Amino acid sequence: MPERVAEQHIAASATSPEPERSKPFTIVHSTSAAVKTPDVLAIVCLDGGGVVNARLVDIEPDPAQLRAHLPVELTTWVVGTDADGTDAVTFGFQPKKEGCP
Amino acid sequence: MSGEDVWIIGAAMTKIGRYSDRDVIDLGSEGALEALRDASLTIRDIDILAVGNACESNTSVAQRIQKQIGQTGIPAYNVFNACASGATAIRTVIMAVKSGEADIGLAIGAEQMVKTSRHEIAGARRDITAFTPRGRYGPVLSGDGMLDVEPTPGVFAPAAMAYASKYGVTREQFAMVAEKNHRNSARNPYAQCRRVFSLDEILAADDIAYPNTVPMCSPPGDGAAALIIVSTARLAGIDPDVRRRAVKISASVLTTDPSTHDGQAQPDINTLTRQAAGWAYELAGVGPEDLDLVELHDYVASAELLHYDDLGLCKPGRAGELIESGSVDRDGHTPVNVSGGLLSKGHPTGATGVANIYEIVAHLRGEAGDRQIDGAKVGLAHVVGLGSACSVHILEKATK
Repeated sequence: MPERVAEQHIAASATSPEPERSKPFTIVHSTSAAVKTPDVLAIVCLDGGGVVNARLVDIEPDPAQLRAHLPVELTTWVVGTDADGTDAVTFGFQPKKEGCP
Repeated sequence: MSGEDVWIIGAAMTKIGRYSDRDVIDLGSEGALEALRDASLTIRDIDILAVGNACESNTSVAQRIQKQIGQTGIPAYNVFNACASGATAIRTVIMAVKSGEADIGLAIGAEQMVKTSRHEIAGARRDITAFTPRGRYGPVLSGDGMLDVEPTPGVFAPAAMAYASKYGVTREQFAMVAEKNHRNSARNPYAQCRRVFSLDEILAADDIAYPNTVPMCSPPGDGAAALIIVSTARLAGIDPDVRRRAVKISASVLTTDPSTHDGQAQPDINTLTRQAAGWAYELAGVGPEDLDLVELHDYVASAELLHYDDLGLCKPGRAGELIESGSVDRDGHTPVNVSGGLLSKGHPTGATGVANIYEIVAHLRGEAGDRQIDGAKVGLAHVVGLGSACSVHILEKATK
């Protein structure tokens, strides 16, 4: 059976040529969702205006290493899959990788 | 405050705790009857009722309480404004009294907190067997893509980190807030948690949302508080023994978030407090330096430092230095949260905004027992309900 992806509203634009930057963060150790903790929650300033509160992914949840104004970029990830194989997709931001647009 | 002054002549609160054998009506009724007794009045003297509640706000809590304390046919208002629900109920009564529509009003805050644990909620999420798109954008989980970024500790923590990164506040300084408030709670018989914690214990405890550990977060508690509010004209006819203990409401302010850039991501918890404080000081004709005590919304320890700055208790950016200076300790210049604050007194959502004012009233009357701030004449109570609403009340001891 082909995998179907349910649409999720994504509030941030991925087309920005400049990397988004994360502002203040917190590391969440307990959450009601089925997401792995500890994980990093940050306020991300979008280039061209706007801010969004989102998870940072692919990043070490270590307060000593996290810093404000870290360049990040939009990514999506699968939160869960239901009995029919439908994925629930949400968005987050990962540290900006060299060579990305 | 424009128009005639309004006064508090009755105040009461229950001990905050986990009452598995009592419901919101039991708790609210106990608070209300105690406040009436405190004012030497009965429910027949009351012209208006407002009840602040969060968890059961669509269940006519006010009318259900009336069935316990007396159904006299008066107007009753059920008020929800998140953590500011209780304070908004008080303001509802104040407005009715100031308008001349009522001479005496009863404001209650009451809450029996939801007992579902976060582990149960997480389990319910995992048990979803079919993702079905819903609503305008068709998400299959709530949160509009921002999965679980909305719980309150996750709002106050990044806000605090913004302040910390701008002004150099340390994690130890955030933890000192919890150390102070837990120390204060040992004197408060109404507090849910009266255990004193060392700074090391607080820092070593399990993290909830950085920089806040478990003892740096307010525990959910059940409880109620109530106030009797009268006009100046009606005060003259009150039992002299009650009148002698009256407390003046010098300012009652409610604000919401103005549009700010960062408010797009999460509630901006600072601007609405700054505006509320500014208006309240102007209305009362007092400044932050005149306050003998402050009860503010320490939902998490890191929030208290932001509120110092927003309420003008320190110079901009100096909240970390203020907590270190000892100036907000109970023997300092401006004691903050001598009740133990939400961190240890507990946080029954709808009751909190009334309980904060109860605490100020107790000190201004000189009736706060072991935790009394001697000679207290002016106090400020502050709450923030996320969403958002901020309420600031300034109270003054009667001069005659």
